[in-house]
Amino acid sequence: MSEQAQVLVVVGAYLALSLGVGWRAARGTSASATGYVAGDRSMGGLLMYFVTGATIFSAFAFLGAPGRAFSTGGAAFHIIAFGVIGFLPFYWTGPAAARLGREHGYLTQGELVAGQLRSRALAPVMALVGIVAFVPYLALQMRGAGLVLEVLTGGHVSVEVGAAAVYGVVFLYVWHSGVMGVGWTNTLQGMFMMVLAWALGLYLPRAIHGGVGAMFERMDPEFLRMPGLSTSGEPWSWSMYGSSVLVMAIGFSFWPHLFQKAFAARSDRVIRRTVVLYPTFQIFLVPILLIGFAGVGYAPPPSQSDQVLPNLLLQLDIPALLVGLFCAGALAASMSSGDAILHSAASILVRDGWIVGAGRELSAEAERTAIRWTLLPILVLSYVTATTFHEDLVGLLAYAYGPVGQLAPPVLAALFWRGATGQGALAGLVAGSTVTIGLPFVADLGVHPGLPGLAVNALAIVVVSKLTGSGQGSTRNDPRAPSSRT
Amino acid sequence: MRLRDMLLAAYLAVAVLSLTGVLFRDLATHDGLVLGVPVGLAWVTGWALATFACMALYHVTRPERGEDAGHGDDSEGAR
Repeated sequence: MSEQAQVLVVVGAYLALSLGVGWRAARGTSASATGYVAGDRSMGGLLMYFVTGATIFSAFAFLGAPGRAFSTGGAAFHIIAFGVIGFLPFYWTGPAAARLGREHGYLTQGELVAGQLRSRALAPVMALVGIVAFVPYLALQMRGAGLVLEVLTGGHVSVEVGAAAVYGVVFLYVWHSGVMGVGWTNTLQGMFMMVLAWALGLYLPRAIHGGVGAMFERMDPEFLRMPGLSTSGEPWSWSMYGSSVLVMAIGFSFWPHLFQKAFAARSDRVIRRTVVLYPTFQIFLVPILLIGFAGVGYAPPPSQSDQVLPNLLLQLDIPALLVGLFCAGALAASMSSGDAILHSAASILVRDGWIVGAGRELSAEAERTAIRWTLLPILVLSYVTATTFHEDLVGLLAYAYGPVGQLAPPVLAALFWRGATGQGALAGLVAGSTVTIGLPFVADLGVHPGLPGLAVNALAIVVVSKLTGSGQGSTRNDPRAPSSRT
Repeated sequence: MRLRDMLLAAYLAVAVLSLTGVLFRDLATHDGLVLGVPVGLAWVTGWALATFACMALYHVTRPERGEDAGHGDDSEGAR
């Protein structure tokens, strides 16, 4: 059997295992939308830790992060930096959202904001912002999976075919099991990729340079100097470094697919413990960066920085079985995020767009069916993006974080500010997203465009809420009594 | 605001200033961290561990509010 065939056998076994675990996960949950979208609000500590951790550590972690360390040096630290603090707001927002979810039947972030601020229009706008960020993020996961398979099979499996095969499996278990399929596969994938990350991160510097210390001693000190280089190879400014960390940290816990897990948790205590433990997941990124640094100066360099890990594995004399395992680890990283994004995007489109936004009534079974069918167009759109977009993975992710960060002010306002109004949140969301997306075409302020976007967003919420509010605060209820629908 | 909240806020302020690079800029040149990459790795890892320890301490010193094991509700500040 050729080496490529052995790699494919290992990958095939891993995909079959993921499908089996994901398929069986549906047992014990109801056939309602609450069962499909939020697992009947029953997730315990283990699932929540891996769902939140593995969901964030994606193809970007196994391919983009080593690529960033390889190509930009010290700048790669921002990847760990924003994650250390990024999930902390969930300690407060998570239980608050969970309580409102239990009281009013909310299953998505958009429903919560629209319900609390009594504005139907907010839900589809938030869904739109989420989808604008989700598509490149999901495309990134697909492209990562395809790239790994293409490089490690010596081009026998193209990016297009590899991405389609891997995401065919994801589609099947998400279709069948919903969020519990996402949860249990993420637990499997999270454990798997943590073990592989440490194995690779310690092995590669030793095999190539004789150890981690020796590896750093060989490098050009200027390359190691903070804040490093931008993705285009230019020196990165401190303002860009700091503002990128800040925007990504603010956006981190407001990713709709991550925030949505508050509605799936068994209790507030589970949510808080997950947040407390979360920084430990960042340690997983240390060996990932070591992998990237190990590739510096090792010839021949990869054609794209994202390919530094598969390139190293091919250059070194490693048994095909191990290469297959490493390949499966990278696919696990891709799938653990891709499945959550896919599931969340479909549920958001149906619940926020169709049910809340358009005011349509659906039975529990019809709603679950609608979410399942919505998986397909999202998958196709992301696949087209993945196979036509050729920027680096981290750049794609950094773009996605800009719009997502704009969800933070309206969510915080809906949860904690009684003076906020629907018009205010809507104005903030539209203004902030416009600035974030449009600013790079107009001017270069030397900071991440999400930062001025957030400032405009927050200002618009306060000003418009003051202008449109009663000034007395109010007890806000869900205008469409969603609890009767779940 | 309780003491534990103030201490956490102070910790987070320092963490944000450090992790965004504000505290470590070379004041003479406004360019470059004092830390090199190997030490920088320890720097971000240290913040991850310190944040875990700090949040754990914050969590265990949290006043009990009758939260039960399932579907407990004590969402601080939520309206």
